[in-house]
Amino acid sequence: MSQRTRDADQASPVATGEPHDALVEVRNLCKVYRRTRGRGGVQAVTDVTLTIGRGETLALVGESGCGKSTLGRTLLQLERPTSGSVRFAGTELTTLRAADLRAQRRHMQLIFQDPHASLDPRMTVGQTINEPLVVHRFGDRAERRRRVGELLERVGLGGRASGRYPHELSGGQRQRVGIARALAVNPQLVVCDEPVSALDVSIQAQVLNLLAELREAFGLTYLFISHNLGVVRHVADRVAVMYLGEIVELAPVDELFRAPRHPYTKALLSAIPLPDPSIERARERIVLTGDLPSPAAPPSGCRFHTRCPFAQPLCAREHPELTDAGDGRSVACHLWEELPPR
Amino acid sequence: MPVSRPPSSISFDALHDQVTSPSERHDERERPLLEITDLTVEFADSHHGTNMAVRDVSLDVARHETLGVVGESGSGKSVTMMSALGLTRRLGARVTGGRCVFDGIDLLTLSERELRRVRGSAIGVVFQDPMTSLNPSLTIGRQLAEPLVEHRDLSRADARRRALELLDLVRIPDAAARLAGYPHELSGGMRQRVMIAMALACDPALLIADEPTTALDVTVQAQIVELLGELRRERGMAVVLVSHDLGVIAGLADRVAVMYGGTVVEAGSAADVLGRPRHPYTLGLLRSYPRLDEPRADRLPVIPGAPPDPFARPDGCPFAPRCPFAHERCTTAPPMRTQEGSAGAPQHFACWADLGPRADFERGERGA
Repeated sequence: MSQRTRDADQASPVATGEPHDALVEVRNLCKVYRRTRGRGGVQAVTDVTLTIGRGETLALVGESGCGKSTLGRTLLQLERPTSGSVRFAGTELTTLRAADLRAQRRHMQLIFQDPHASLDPRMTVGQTINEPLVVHRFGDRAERRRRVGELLERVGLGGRASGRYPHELSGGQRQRVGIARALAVNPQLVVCDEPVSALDVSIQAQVLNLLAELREAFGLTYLFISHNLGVVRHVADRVAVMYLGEIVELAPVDELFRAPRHPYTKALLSAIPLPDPSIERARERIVLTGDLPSPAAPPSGCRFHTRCPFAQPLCAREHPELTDAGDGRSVACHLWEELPPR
Repeated sequence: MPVSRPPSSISFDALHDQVTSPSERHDERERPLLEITDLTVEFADSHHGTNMAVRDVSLDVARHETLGVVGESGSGKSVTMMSALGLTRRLGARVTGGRCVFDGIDLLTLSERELRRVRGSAIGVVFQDPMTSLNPSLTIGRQLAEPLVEHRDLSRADARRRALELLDLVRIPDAAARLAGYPHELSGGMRQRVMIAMALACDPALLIADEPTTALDVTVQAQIVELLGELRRERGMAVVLVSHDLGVIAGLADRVAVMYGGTVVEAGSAADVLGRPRHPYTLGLLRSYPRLDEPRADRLPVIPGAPPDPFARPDGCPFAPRCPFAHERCTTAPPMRTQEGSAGAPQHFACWADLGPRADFERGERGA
């Protein structure tokens, strides 16, 4: 871990604007991938603290390598965190034994980005959706068959799809199978990891609307991981922006898009192109220079300072903590109050 | 850093003299730089039979112009451009009709060897995934110098000097050090810059960029879009930009062609096609693009259904099964082709419905 002290972190009042009825509470979560030899390692997730309310959709955005998927997988304990705490419905997950964790898994499911790679090509759609039901000992054979039929209807595939194989389905249909499989055991939390990134634009909207319908119908809670802010805007209640393993801004969705505070959020928003030539031609973007630094050797101070158009000498020295910025949002930037609005 | 313009495409001109007679070259100025006419490409598949990937596609791009070709996966946008360059021959594609005339020469009539000369010099190509197009075991410098030695007869030393200029041209910092490096040492964005540098090595009149930013993060995408825009202006190249992203197309294209189900459904100036779409598919695509400058809705507008199966394309309009404006004749007869607007920048669309400016895609209502 870095040079920062645990105590200071825990004292920082990050919890403003957080939901009252928390389903997931993540505190000071770290995930370091050690090197097989030598010292040091890659800090994929550094000191992340956040809460997901029951029935809420929290979006986690950032570019490739920012640690958003690792955070999702660590939260689900698919990878054990290096340090920190994850409480799910009041239960501490990080110290659970494998058997107890398996029982909790029923309540937490994952939808993957690539529905082609995440479905077994030798299993029919029906078998795929049936599998978690068997694992979690759901009813008898007849009940399970009925449940598979119900789920297929629910995700818009229809019962006839049950006997088909993944290769017979389109990308959008395969993602519907992935969604049905995740919902089979009535989870409370669904982690959606780039669920529409592999899909064409016209199909993306269909799957996003389906996710919204299912959330309302079953009172689901989503952690929605995506690199696409345009998509996130339509599904999220709150948005956490990650950069090099850290959350740099966390805000209610309308606030974040109306007035982004962190320079990285500003740059991300300004980089999204609009399908309108008159706007695109005239537009002045914040174009970030350089590339993402290696998470194996993150920059000193603020990790974003090497690419930040507003960086001051202070930013290279001192690490900004995620602090309350009013309106239910938190920002980790020394300068956010002095920055231009867009 | 300014790059001295090398003498205009030596090897291609030589080829040009072989294939065209002087009288044919006479009216070159009026003709588009690349003109694809009624191109039809089939893929044979042992399981499914014949797949008509592209049907009667016509596209053209003038000198100094940027044409955006937009469409979803399977729409035929890449197959069209790659077939024009002869790059689908080895994939089992068969061009069964049409012409692809570049600078007076029908590329479809050229041998593999002649085509390679055109591709390396007069036409530069940038692909989606730079990692699969770069050779991982050769240094960046070697890969950049290769086409210069091959197509330009430069000496090794001159080619190296030019490679350095090219890396500067695409704004790669510390270019001299990069020449000795290998592709895996570069980030995705830097690799794509190297690919663009390679495509520009012989100062092409036309750059074809096939999804050049799709594999990149959004902030890096913005850098590459900016770079392509600057290079196009500085060098006066014509560009064909193939992309599924309407936003990327809007930032760069002068004219836009929208493809669906292996056909061009609409084409015209970027302002017309993206601002006043006349084809229901263009309208639906624009509506389902998640925009940041419009109010947030509970549900996103959707194009129902899925793109057509390339092995079972319908008789009539390929979009008819998903189109809220569709009538019976749309499923039986090929869509009506209409041309509107000024002769200089006409808007073409292939549809029986007349949408009008305020059409409602969700309700299938035409606007007055």
